[in-house]
Amino acid sequence: MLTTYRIRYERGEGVKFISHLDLMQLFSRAARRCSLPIAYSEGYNPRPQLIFGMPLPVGVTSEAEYVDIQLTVDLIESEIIQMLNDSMPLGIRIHEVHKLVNKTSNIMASVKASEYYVNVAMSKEGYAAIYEILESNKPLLAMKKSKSGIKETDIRQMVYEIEDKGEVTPGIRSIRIVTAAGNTMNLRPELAIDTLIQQAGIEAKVVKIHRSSLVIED
Amino acid sequence: MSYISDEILMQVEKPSRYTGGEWNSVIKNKEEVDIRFGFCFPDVYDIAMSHLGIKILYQLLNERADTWCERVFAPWPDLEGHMRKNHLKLFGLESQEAITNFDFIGFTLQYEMSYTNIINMLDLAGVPVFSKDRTGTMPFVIAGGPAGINPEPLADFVDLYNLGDGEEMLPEVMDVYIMWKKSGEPRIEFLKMAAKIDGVYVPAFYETTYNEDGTIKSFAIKEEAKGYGAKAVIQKRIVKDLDTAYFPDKMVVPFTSVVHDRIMMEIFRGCSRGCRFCQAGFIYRPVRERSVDTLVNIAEKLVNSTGYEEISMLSLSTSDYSSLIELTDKLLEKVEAKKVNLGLPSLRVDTFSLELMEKAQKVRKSGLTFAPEAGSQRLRDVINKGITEEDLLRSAELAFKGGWNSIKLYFMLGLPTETDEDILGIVDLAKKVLEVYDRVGNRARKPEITVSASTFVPKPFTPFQWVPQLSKDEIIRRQQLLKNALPRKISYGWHDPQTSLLEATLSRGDRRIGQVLYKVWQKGAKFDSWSEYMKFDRWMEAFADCGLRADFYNSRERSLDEILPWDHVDIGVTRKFLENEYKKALAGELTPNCMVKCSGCGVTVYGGGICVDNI
Repeated sequence: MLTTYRIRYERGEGVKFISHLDLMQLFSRAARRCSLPIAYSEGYNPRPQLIFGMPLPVGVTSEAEYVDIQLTVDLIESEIIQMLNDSMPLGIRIHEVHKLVNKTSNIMASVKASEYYVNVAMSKEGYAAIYEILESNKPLLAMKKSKSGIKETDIRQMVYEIEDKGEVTPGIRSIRIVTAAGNTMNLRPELAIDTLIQQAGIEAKVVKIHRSSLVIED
Repeated sequence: MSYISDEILMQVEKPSRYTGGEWNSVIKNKEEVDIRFGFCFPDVYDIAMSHLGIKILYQLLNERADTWCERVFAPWPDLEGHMRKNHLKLFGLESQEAITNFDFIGFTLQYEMSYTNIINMLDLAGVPVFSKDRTGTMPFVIAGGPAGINPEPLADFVDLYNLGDGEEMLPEVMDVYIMWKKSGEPRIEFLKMAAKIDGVYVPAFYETTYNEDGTIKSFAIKEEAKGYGAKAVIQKRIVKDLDTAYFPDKMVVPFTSVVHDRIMMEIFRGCSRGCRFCQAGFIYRPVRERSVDTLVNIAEKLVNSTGYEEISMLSLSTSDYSSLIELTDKLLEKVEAKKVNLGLPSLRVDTFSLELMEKAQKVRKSGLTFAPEAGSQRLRDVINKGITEEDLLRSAELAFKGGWNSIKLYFMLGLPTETDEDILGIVDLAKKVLEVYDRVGNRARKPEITVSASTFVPKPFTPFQWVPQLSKDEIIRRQQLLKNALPRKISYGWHDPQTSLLEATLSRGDRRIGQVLYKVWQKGAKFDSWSEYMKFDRWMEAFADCGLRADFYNSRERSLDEILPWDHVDIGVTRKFLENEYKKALAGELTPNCMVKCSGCGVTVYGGGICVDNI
């Protein structure tokens, strides 16, 4: 009897340069270290049953990373947290585990939006200028990668919310931004902010990005 | 906090090479240790992290409360550019601090083409590259590893060498260092103390004079160093009993995949075969095994501490392990439930067994390499390879019947006495392998036979240490001969002759090569083991600038009474034995495997391993 658990974890400073592809190995090795009974696929080359959510761009930290993990044994959630945290490198912390009872779709298909806190070297007036651009009705054109290649796209509908959280260090403002995420529509926060900066014609620069939460609709 | 800023890291390839923090990496409080040791591998992270020696010594040094050993690797040129522009120094992965003021900077010497990176790394560290220019409390540069068995090419840069196995010697050096550090004595006093440790060689205590023809006239302890206690001949150190020797129960697990990304478990050291071209086969003598129980115990600990999904059993010739079936069975029993696979590299043609290959599930059916080394029986006898055409064809048949369709055949061109006929023998052999496939192979799939030919590089401490390497033109002619004679169904892979020529130059080099290395580095050489960075002309210019010739080193035949640059190193195997092996080679006479009969190479002086087990 296999049970699927959804895990929310954090990726901190020390591990923000790991690529999405390397995460599978990181988790399956951590699981082996703590003897967490992960289920494996059948076949000649069995693979651990791990399904990762939204890839996190390299260089971005996050407290809202998700992985669905299948176990061969029913375990108490807190026990899974404890086991994994004891065998994770510094920078990866498991925060939540919950059993998926009526699993309908995988994590990737359930993600709808993503919230980020972006540190931008920008003045208060600079923020006012980009806010004005966003509030106007003109198309917000950006060169965006899609399945058919890089093409000019209007990204206005993909920016759901933006908010100035004030100065964090002198000259650096924290901007909260919620953008479309998931299989159907996806917008990276730095593309949104860079495009706004460009259109507003202001001097500003993204210095740090942190993903704070994902909007998941099962 | 990483030493390199995020802004730079975002601009370089694979930034996680530089940020440390991997599972099992060791963090200590720098205030609480006496020794900070920067263990350098002179290549990029992906290569460095694939090396077993560094894993052993890293863990060994870090088990000492008084020492913090960190990993230090060569930044890829993209990062180096940023580092030089921003005046950043070479740094340790663990502390993310510059290594400029470390106590030791240690290099493992695995291949000659990494030598320019050593100079480059010292320079990047902000440490004077020549040992004579290092003063006061500047780091000591220590080196070891197989290429260092001829220590002379890097003698001007290295303060002290560890010749032979490091597991016992390196801790002794650390002990002596702490005594010296507490004494407050001048720098040279540490070197004097270290020189008394068995296996330690301090090049600055010795000098070489040369004859007019460029050969060595004398090599001796310098006049002023006579009272220092340095030995005239330095005998390599060995770990007598490998079964009880240190082996780490933890290994750093990289975040990003590296070349060999798995548990590496050394099942035995040394090789009993005595192939005459093979330096490792001589310098790692005598053969010493770890017992099945010890290995199973090590494997279990390593699986639990690393979480790796594969264990690779390392040695120079895995199928020569005395109880390989028992070992694989017991290992599988322990680790199979954890979905851990076994890898069996370095299997020999004559002992290839399907049973074994099937145990090693991870060995994908796309890759099998057999190494007949030479195309004719005559030449295989010259090199004492001791395998026959029948061995090869039988192994190929087993593999094809077992479902493999791809075999790589590895050869060397330019072995002593090689004729065109021997080269055409490679073609015959490959064709016969193809015929075997047509007879027994899976008809639904096409056979993939590859002939891979490298150029023979004569190495110190082998029976071929006296022989000339072929000239560049002749290497190219023989490569072409082989290429043109191979049918199109067989693919052909060859190695760049320029790299082989340089390897032969450096491996048998003397102390004067140091100037050439410095010169070529000044001209921009680094990462010479990467073909995209190696510029042969730059090397030739550097030789000319130093008034030296590369062909003096690579394509000159040495007379048997010539003083060789590495004569002051004693690996246990006598020069007399090597000389005799050379003569037997030319006569096409075989020398038996040590397991069968002792041929008196001299390594019995150590009283360890196979030399005593078989009595």
